Amino acid sequence: MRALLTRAWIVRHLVALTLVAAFLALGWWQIGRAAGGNSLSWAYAFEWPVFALFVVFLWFREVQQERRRGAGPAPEPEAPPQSAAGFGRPVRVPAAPARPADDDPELAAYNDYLAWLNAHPGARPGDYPGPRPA
Amino acid sequence: MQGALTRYRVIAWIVGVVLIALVVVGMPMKYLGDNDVVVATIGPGHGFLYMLYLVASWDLSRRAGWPLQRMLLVMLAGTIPFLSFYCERVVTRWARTAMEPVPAA
Repeated sequence: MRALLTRAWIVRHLVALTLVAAFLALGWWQIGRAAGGNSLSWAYAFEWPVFALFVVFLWFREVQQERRRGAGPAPEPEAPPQSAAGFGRPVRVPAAPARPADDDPELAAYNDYLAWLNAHPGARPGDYPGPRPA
Repeated sequence: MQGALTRYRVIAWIVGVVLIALVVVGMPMKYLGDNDVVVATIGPGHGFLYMLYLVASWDLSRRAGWPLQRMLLVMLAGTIPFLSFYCERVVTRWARTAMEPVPAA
């Protein structure tokens, strides 16, 4: 909560408030003009409140993001107990270690894809530029 | 993010053209020629298109991880006739930079 009361954030709150007040005032002005017979103003009377709502939306998203950032990364989910002696289904453990990835071009390409996704947290799968030339 | 950039560029171009039509054709006709047919037709339309522009700018900025100031700058850029096309080029360059793969450490 304190992170939202820094100087930069107070400025943002004030800017958001000012913009909302200004846009609502402009909408009110257009309503007055529309009532006075200016038919073009009906559209603007509707548009200004939408812009005010958009400011509220942006403000809300920024605050949400800041609070999430302040909470830090989500704690790791607790690992399931390893030795629940006597309970649960038996677990199959591969006898041989997993095959190394080098000899499978398809797996290597997939691993490169996963590494790229990991390096670009905001990216979507469709943004993958293809495997890097070795 | 490529999709977000494409959406932004399309709507930025449309809003830029409509804004120029409004400023270069509509306003002289209304205030000099006393004929507000162009303003009455595309004026409100520009408002609605600009809403789409705002949403596209927000989407692109969030995906690119830009700070709030830059996002607001991109949004404001769409309101300036003629200059909006240049701003679209700059934003595209920024977005391309943000999309470049991070060199492996």
